[in-house]
Amino acid sequence: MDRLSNLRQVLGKKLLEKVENSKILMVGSGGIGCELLKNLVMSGFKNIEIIDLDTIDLSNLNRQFLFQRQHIGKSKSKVARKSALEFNPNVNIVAHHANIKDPQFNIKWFKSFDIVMNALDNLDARRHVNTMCLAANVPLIESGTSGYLGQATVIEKNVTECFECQPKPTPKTFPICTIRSTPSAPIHCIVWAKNYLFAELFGKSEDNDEIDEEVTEENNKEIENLKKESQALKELYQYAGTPEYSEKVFDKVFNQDINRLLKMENLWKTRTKPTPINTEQYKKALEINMDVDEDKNDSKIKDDQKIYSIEENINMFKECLELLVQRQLKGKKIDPEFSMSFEKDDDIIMKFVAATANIRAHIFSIEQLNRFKIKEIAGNIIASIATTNAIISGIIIMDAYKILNNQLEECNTIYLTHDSSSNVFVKEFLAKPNPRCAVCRKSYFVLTINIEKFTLNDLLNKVLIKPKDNNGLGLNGDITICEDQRILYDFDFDDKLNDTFSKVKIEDGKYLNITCDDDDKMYNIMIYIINDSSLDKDFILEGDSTSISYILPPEPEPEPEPEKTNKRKHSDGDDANNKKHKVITVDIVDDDDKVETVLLD
Amino acid sequence: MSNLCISRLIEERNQLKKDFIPGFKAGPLKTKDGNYDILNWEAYIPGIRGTSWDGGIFKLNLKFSKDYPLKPPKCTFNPPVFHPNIYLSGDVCLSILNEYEDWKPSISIRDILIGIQLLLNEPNLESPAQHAAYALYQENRLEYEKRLMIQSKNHYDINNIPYLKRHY
Repeated sequence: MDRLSNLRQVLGKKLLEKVENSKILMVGSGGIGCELLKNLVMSGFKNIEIIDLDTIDLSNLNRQFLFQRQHIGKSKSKVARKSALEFNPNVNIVAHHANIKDPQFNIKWFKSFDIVMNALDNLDARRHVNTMCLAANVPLIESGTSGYLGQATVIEKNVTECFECQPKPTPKTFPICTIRSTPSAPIHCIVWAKNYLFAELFGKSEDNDEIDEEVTEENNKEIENLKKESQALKELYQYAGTPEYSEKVFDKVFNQDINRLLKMENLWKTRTKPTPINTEQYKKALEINMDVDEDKNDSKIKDDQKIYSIEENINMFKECLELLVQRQLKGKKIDPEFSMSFEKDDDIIMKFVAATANIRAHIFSIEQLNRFKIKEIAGNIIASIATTNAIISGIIIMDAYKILNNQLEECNTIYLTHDSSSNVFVKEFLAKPNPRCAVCRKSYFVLTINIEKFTLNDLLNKVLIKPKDNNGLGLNGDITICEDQRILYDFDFDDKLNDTFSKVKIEDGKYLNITCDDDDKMYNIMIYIINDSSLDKDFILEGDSTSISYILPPEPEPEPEPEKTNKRKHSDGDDANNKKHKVITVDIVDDDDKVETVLLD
Repeated sequence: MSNLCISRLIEERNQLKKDFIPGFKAGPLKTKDGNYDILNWEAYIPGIRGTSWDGGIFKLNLKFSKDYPLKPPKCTFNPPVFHPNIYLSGDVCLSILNEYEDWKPSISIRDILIGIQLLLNEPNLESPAQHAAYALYQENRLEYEKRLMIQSKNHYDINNIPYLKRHY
């Protein structure tokens, strides 16, 4: 009895054949990916390509079961392939250790698949795959998990909603005022310690270079003063390496700055005033000189879970600052541009951030947290649960069967919930495309050209504004040509028109985003570039020019009920906009990933 | 890169061109390779006539993230400006630029620029960000206004900005 006989009975000969002949792309081989690849090779799929740019980390092993200890540091996709082939050697798996956004994974490549399955952990790659699948017209099964919650859905161009039809909730960014002047929650102090203090002391000094010097015409004292003050912390760097340095830094951020805040009385009308820590108190704390955090292995976990006293935190601050400064001085000797960035797994950096966050919390009478918790917040660690990944992967396979059996209408968006009062699974019909979606309502074209010869002007005159009945797109109005965030041409920028595509670095695999503003109608098209240096004509344009239609402007938002009496009240954000479906807001993460929840910018 | 973000910014740009705000200038900045960066804008905000800000033209940088318009742009005066709600770094503290307060994706760049122009003359003392300006405003209003007038005089003369002459 062969291994497929049961499957054949369940699926039927015809469907199993389709499954065996189908070609699947799996994007990402992490949490969901490992489960999904196992499912794929065990359920009849024979041609699978997988791609992941990541390497295996110790923290993956608890749930990404295709990986073992000896694989740490190796390519996720390659190891996943090898492990999966052990379950079933009769399948073809091609593994790419690469970024899905690399130009080699172009539209032709996407078109070669019957189904694309996302097992991703970030919004950016999801958006990219969504766009590629829309352009290539390949069905996409999109999924995500976060803790006990998960979801899976199917995206098919013109039939269902695409990934961007509904705005995705993005983690909120804390306003600078809250972070720099009026913290009210532990996370505000952690963001301050990580993104402000640590970055100012050890990070790149990008912003400061930008301040223009042009204004000196009339020796503008005001600006000088302002600049000077904002530079004060940086200027302390001249003391780096001396014994006074940590004291000076401490005094600046935990005494002077706090005193300055105190002078702005209005800030404290409705808030608890902060209490600065002066140099004397600082020195006193150091005299106690306790044995902070001896690195005995057995006490490490305990130390991570413990809430330190303010004296302990001050000691920790000094100790870590000095170690980091040494590192910084050493680095700058080799490279004057040397800088450090926050790394949650760097013990000293983590201790520094934890200690300074807690000192600040103490000053503002905010609850202090232990280092374990601070690491979780600062490192944006989101718990990931193997069972959730397994369930979602199972749903993905079921969806794939339905798609291959031409039963798209049988597919649902499925949410896995963790609410004992209701069903664990919540099903929703696949929604129709949003007529206002700026992504899937666009028309997609593929343009094959020789990038060494074809110019932007050619694009404009031979393709874009040429009438539709003459093999053009017939656009009429103000045209803007963009590639990613670069504007290449628009109403008052035509310097580049005579440049070839290769000169403006539009190479094979790039997208052009073209907007045409015809009175109040916005036409939006995407042109995907394929380079063919042996092309004997000007260009080949593929796509349906009759499909170009303008995109409806976004619906005006309903005015919120006038409940805002206290306009300047800071809220802390966790009021997860209780929309119709609680689950929708938590779809986007899988893994211990770098989803920046606490960006301060 | 979110397509939504780019489309919206192009639309904003077209809109600003059609519905020009007198005295203001705003547009994407040129990058080193000679293209424009749609995520990085520069704007010039004139002080309101008849106030201590009159005559001054203040340069503002607007940095958009790829999550725009779900997230507001970061607005920074460059060089910084003497004002109670502007951080020493030049960052503007304003409720419509704050996700936790009044930011909504429907707020246009035009609204932001006009909002900041208004803020210049109408500081919000409930939310001070720059101590010196805040203190002077509270303690000696006359001196504060004087300072502003000097500042306005010293800030950009729009005719001296070659960038603007070329591209607007």
